[in-house]
Amino acid sequence: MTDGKKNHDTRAIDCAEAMRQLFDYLDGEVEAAAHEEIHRHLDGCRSCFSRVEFEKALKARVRKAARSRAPDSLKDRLDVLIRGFAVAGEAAARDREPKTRAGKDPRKSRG
Amino acid sequence: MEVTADSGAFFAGQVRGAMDSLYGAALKLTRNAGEAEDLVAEAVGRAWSAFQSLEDRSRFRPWLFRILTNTYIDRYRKRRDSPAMESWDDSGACDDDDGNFSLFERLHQPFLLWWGNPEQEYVNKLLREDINRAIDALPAVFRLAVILIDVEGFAYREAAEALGVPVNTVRSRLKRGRACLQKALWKHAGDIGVTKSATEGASLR
Repeated sequence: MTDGKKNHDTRAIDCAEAMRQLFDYLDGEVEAAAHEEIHRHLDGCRSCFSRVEFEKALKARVRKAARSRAPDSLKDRLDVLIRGFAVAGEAAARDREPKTRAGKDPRKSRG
Repeated sequence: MEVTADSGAFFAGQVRGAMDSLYGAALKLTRNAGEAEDLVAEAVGRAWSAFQSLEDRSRFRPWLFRILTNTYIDRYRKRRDSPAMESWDDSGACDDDDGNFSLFERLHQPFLLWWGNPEQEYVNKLLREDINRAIDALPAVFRLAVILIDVEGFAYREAAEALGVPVNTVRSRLKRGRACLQKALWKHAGDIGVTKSATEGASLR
């Protein structure tokens, strides 16, 4: 902590404990108290701080390198599919409506 | 849940929003652009058919990725003879079986430290194709864990839903996947001038 305040809810942790939780911490998967404990440890430990900075930078690099954009051909294909679903959905909704208007339903024949 | 015009619009909006992520995951699974497109289209079709059974719409994204994953498994089971078929379990061969390899520890060595920050320099010099090659070489289940969490930013719980496994399984797959990825990146570290001496030093151990 850089503001000098003491937080009595958290305990001091050692390097082994901080590193055990390294990836959960980086992935935003630790509880607030544990987050604070790790954060405080990193503030005073150059070695763990360097490790965290490295893993963070590598993760960001991997993310940037491996992201893809869907090609336009796929976008067009999904648009066609989704429009087809909408048409089918409307037809299904019409079928569910009570058939009060005789003559509008082509399948109506008995009577 | 009944499919209405409103739910149709919801479905369309969600699919459009997830399109890049879906394609990215499909591309990393199939490692082939044409097959990735087919996989996404088939998964979206299946998702629409199953949409009425989705009770909690806030879980749409992991649900959709679960369908993508299952569609992939089904497609590849149908053609076991295909060279693209690979095992879909946690026993996949990975260079680092205990998940403990650390690139940082290899780079962070006293004889390198006196001339700068080799770790940072290494990350800066990594090429896009080095990273993608290393990801593509991971066994499928580890590859997908890395993609969902490191690339697509899923929370562990979301990834667990998308993969249909417990959160701890996601955690262990991710650990092994990352360790294998780092080991693969270390292997072509020699191409990057900054680690040449480190690679030689490590090989002597």
